Order: sequence, then C-alpha cells, then structure tokens
Amino acid sequence: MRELAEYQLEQPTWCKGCGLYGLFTAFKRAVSSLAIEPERLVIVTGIGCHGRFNSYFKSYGFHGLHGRVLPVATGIKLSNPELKVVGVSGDGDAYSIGISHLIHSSRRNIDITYIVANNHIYALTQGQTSPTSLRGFISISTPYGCQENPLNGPLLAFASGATFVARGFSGNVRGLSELIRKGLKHRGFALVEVLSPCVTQNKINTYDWLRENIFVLEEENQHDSRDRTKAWKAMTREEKIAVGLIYEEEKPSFEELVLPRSRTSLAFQDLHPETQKLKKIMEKFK
Amino acid sequence: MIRDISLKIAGKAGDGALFTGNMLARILKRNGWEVSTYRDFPSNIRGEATNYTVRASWERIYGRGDAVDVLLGFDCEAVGRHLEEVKEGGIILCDEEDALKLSPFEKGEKTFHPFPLRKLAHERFGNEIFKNMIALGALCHILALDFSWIEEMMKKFLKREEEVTKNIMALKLGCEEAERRIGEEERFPLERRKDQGRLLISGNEAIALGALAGGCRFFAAYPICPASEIWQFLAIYFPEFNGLVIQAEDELAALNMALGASYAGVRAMTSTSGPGASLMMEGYSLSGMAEIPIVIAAVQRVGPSTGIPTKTEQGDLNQWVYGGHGDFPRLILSPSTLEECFELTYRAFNLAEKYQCPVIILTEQDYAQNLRTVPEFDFSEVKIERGKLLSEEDLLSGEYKRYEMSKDGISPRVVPSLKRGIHMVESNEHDEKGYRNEDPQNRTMMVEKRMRKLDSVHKDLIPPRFEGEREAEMGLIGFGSTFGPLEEARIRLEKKGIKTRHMHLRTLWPFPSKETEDFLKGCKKVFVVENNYQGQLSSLISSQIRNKFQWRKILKYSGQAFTPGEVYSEIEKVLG
Repeated sequence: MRELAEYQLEQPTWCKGCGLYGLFTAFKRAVSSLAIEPERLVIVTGIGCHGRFNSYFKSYGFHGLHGRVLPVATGIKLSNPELKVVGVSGDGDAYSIGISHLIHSSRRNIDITYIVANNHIYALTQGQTSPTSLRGFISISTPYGCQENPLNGPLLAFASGATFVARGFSGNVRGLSELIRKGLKHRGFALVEVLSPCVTQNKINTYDWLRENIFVLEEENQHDSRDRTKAWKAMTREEKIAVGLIYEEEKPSFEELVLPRSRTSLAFQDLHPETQKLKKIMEKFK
Repeated sequence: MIRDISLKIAGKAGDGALFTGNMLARILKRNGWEVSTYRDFPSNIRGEATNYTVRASWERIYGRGDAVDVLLGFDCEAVGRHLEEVKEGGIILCDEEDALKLSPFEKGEKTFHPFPLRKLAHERFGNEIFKNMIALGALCHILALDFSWIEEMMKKFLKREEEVTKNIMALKLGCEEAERRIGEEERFPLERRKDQGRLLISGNEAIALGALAGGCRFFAAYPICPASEIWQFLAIYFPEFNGLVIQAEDELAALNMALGASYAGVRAMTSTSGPGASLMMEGYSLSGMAEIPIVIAAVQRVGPSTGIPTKTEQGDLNQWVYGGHGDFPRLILSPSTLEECFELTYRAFNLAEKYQCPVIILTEQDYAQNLRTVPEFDFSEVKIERGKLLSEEDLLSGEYKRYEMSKDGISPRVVPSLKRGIHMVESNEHDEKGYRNEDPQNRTMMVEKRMRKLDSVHKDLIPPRFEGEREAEMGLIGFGSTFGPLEEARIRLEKKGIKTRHMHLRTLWPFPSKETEDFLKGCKKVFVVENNYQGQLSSLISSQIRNKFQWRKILKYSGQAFTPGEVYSEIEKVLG
C-alpha cells in the first residue's frame, strides 16, 4: 500500500461527471494497493478523452498515436519486463483504428494490462458513432441512425486468446478498482473494459442506462471465471451486459517465452561490440 | 585472357536457379574472382520465367554487366528468351532436346553445348531438379573452376545430408560428362586467383550485420519483399547477443513497437519496403515529434502500390524526404556500396541516439538481395555513442525536463525506471516537461528546437563519394545501387579521353547542398542518373541549391537496374 497522493500529479480536467474520473480513482486505488512504484509504472495512452490519463498520473507516460497503444506497450514490456506496463485506450482507439493490435496482443498473451474506456461514442471529435454504438444510434456521423452492429471487445479478446477478460463500470469505483487490481496482478494479457459514460456527447448510454442494462457476474452463483463456456455465455447474453471478472487462466506470457535468457533486460545490455562473435558470423560469408 | 565474364542461369521459378546461381557465385569467389549477382525473379514461387546472372571480374565490380558470355538455359523458352543477350562467340549450355528445336539462324555464331541434362537427372537421380547441379558441374569444367571444397559450402545451404550427397554427386557427374563431351578448345578456362578473405554478401545481410555490430537489440517488422532477409538474419543471431526479433501484425505495429522499445532504452530498428513504408509514415512523424531514436531500413522495390515486389527502383526517395505529416528532422543515408550497407547501419544507431530522430537507411532491391564480394568488415571501427542519455546520478540536481530547451536542440533522455526521471513522452505538441501545450509561443519554440538539431548534424554525416578528377568535362550524379553502372560508364569515358567526375550521394537528407553546388560548378555537362520516372533526386537537387545549373536526366523505371552500357550510351549521344 502506498499513499494515493503519491500518484496524482495534477487534477484531471475532464467534463464534470465524466466516467473517466471513476476510472482514474479506481486505477489509483488499485496501483496504490499493490504499492507499485511510480518509476516502475509506464502508462501508454492513445488518442481520445482518455489520452490525458497519464498526464494527470505520476508515472512514466507515453501519449502516442491513435490506436497504437498496444504496439508501443509491447515494445516497452519486451525491453524491460521489470516495468509494469499499462495501456489505456478508448473504444475508438482499441476497437476501431487499433483493433488488430487488440487481437494480436491477446493471442501473444503479453503481460500488459489494457484498460479500454468505452463510452460508446467518439467524444473528443465532437460525437461521432463508435464501433460500440448501438444499432440505430443517432449522432453527427449517423444522423439517420447507425446501421452497423456494435462490437463486443471483451468477447473478441477472449476469442483471440486473452488470458484475463473483465468488464467494469466507472459508476462502481470499488468494483472497478478490484478488477483493475486483479488485472494488474495477472501475468499475461489482461483486458479490462470500462463502461464509462460520456456526459457531454452521449445522452443514450448514460449512468442510469448502464445501471439498468448491466448485470454483475459476482452476484450470479453459477458464474465461474475459469470456465470458458460460462465466460462465453456471460458475454453473449442478449439483453444485458456482463460486468465483473469474466474469464481468467494461467498461461506463460509472451515475454517469458521469447526473451533471451539474460539476467539483464534488453534495455540495459552492454552494447560494446563483441568482435569475436561478430567475426565468427562474418566467416560464414567467406 | 578473360577478365570479366557474365553467366546467366535461366529457367522457370522452381528450377533452382537461385541455388545454382548462389553456388556458382561462391565457386567463382573461392576461385578468387570479384563477383556481383543479379536476380530477376517473378514474385511467385513456381512456374514463371526466372533468371539469375553471375558476373565475375578481376576488377572490383558493383553491379551487373552489359552482355551475357555464358547462358545456362533449363528449357527451350529460357534459351530462346535470352539468346539475343549472349555475345557473339558466347557459350550456351542447354538440354540437348531444347538445342534441337532452335534453327541455325537463331543460333548464330554462338557455341552450343547440348547436354542431356534432364535425361541424366532422371536416369541417375529419378528427379529432374538435379539437372541444375549437373549443369553447374559442366560449367565448372568449361570454366576450369575448382570446387573441391563444395561439400562444406553445400552443408550451409542444405539441411539434409542426403540432399548434400545427391547434389554433390550430380555436380561431379556434370563435370565428368562435360570432360567426355567438350573438347579442350571449346573451354573458357578462368585464371585462379587469391580469395584473400573477402565476403560474398547481400546488402540485407550487410545491413543486419551492421545492426548487430551497432548495438541493435530489438527488431520488429512485418514480412515484405525485398527487406525480410534483414530480419531473418537477426532472428538467427540475436539470441546470442541478447536481442529480440518480433513479427508484428503490420507495419503500423512494427514501427510503434520499435519506438516503444527505443523509448524503454533499447537500440531498436525496423525494416520495410514501399507499401509498408506508406503505413510507417504515421510512426515516422511520431518519432520526430516525440524525439525517439529509431533506425529504419527502407529497401525500395518497384511502385506505386504493390508494384513489382521483387524488382528494383529508386522511387521512394520523395516519400522518405517529404513523407510523414508535419515538420520534423530526419536523416536519410544511402549506401553506395555493400560495405557501406554495413557501415552506415552501425553509424545510423549512433546518429539516431545522438540526434533523437528517425534515421533511414535507404537502399534498393538490387543491393539488398543480390550478392557482391566485399573486403572483410572492420569491427574495430564500430563505436557505440549513446548521446545525451542520463543515469540516476546525473539526475541528482535540478528538475528533469524531457524536452528541455538547448542550443543544439537536443534534450537529455531518460530511460523509464529511474526515480528522478519520471516524465511524459508526447505526440501532441508539448512543453519542456512533455505536457501538452498549445500556446503559440511554446509551439514556435518547440518546432525550432526540434529542427535546430539539423543545424549541427553536418559534421557527423557521410559526405558524397567522389571519383575522377576535380575539373571535368562530364559529371555524373547518383545514389545507391547505381554506383556500379555510373563508375563503369565514367571509366569508359575516361578511356575515350573525356575527363569525367562522379559524385555519389551517401546522405540524402539533410541534403549536401554545398558539395553538390561545387560539383555542378566543376563539370561542364552533368547527368543525374536514377531508377525512377520523375527524377526524384534531380528535383531534390533543384530544390536544395541556390544557383541555377543545367543538367540532363538518365532515368530507368523498368524494374531492372542500369547496365554500364545503358548509362554510357545515353551520355555518348550528347558527345556529338
């Protein structure tokens, strides 16, 4: 446990009531309960309202390009596995422009905690329909109603091989914080989707709408987060959105499998040219 | 006495022209000749026409020659297709059945050696593929080449012992058959020379070896012709150097992974070609804005779009010089020889970390995939200079600012995990500490800070290579894999009594304006030679020099590299 104040650099300036406040608090609590040192934590963000997350948080931060959170996080984790690497994206970042990275990071099972704040809309660009917007959703980009079906991020990550899949709600900070804490402790790829209302642009998927449309897995006796069939059922329930720890399993993580057996991480290798070894390689071209 | 010879192996993809050609190139190299290979492959695996030329010379050569001295044709169409390229007095080695199909008119003054290639392969090995080693054996006899050490060489290329044995048997069989069939007067015995520890290497392999020597320890890429050999080489050797190769899901991921790794403190690299380069433009721009060192090997192929993936062009110069949105500093290096593929690559890592910006190794398929003999690489020249990289002790005093204002535009870098170095790396415009900032004054200062890095870079860049005398009648300008044809054209002009000077650019950005202007002043007539339609280098020169100069362009965009004769004959036209 470390003091919460240790992690806060600045007071966030999202719209009053934004779901990202709940996420910010929940994340701070999770990190503090695990006593992660700020210098050992790297938060990578993409483009969207969530993108400011690491500017407010005291840790190493990388605010990159739209959709490329996971590739950057992958490069960091592989270079220095001692770092706790967290990605934060929005639904546009994770499920639209960066979707292939979600699929491939899931199947790689690289040890990254990936938090996706899903507000069902492109908020920063003034409110266009997003890949999680419901069919019929009216916005400035679909004034006559969206005719595409919403994407289920946790289900996709699960199908792609993610070893930890959870969904939280920023209206329930305590529950969300617990899910993030578990996600941070998990070794391997952990997706934590956060239902995070946009109070300015999205008048449909509000806190009230979410409260009515979610069901909490922990309250259901029959759910078992280690059972693939039950996880599938929980995520594909027609009328309601599952919230809670949906699925988890233990598998070797990517960096454990691929990194060279050196006690020093890639980031701190001695780069002085090993002439003898290089010459031996050169011999092969003679 | 033969001092320069070109041998073409032609057939269909799947005939083993690459393996046969590689073996021939190695045999010639071991017999002490300078070698340069040229592959002309379709971008599929089987069925289409393919050919591979091995040129050997007493002199140092950098590229293909003009005509074919020996043609080895695996089928009738292959012989027919390339017959015209064969010099008068040249040799054609082909299957006896195929030779019968050609008319005396088609055959001309050329010596045919019909050989039961397919028949022998079927009879002795039960598989037509061995025709290629039988033919190679026959060639070795005709050229009097020593291949007594071939077993050790074949073991490097073939996995199974049985394959090695059979291939050697076929090679020997071809040699013996040739001995029986070909008269002494019909042979072209080549003088055996000293090998002297040279290498026979491709540009991609030289780049990979440069990366290994230069401290690269992270490589992310997506498969693409003709760049993948860099990665394939590193994938084999990285484990013993504690490095890691990762296959990214696309080029967007490849470059962003490499940027993540570089930010975390590793010397990181990616490689790509045309279509992948287009995808990398967003990360290229990020590298410039966030000031993250990165090395990108950009191996050009024929464009636009998918183009011709296995053939050569210099059409991506504009993309790397002007591409990526916004203003940001970049360094573009272009190896003029294969040893420079090695040298410029290890130097690129020092430049990237010193100037904290993207460094491009711009080369072409011709250099990247073809083999050339080069002197041994000198690893003692390799120095690792990491630029302004701070340790925990350096951070004891004062507040750390990732993008601190400085005279040279370069700010100190910190690798994550240092207690006092916590900071943000930003793709948005930012202040000195790395926090988003849209204030006009800050914005102006930051653009100038980043661009200022180029003001001091000149001393570290590689100047153009000059050949020939300072004051000249004729001037030739090129970059990259046109070095050979330009140099050979220059030598021919010199022999004709025309003083010619050749400038080969090895840094394309920032552009060496002064050197170029001086060169233009010193030559009466100038030709800019490049493998593209628009004359991209020519336009770049125009935009980067102050005074008005005239020059002519020699352009080729057929997917094939220039031959020396093509360059020479274009120049000859204006000689009058």
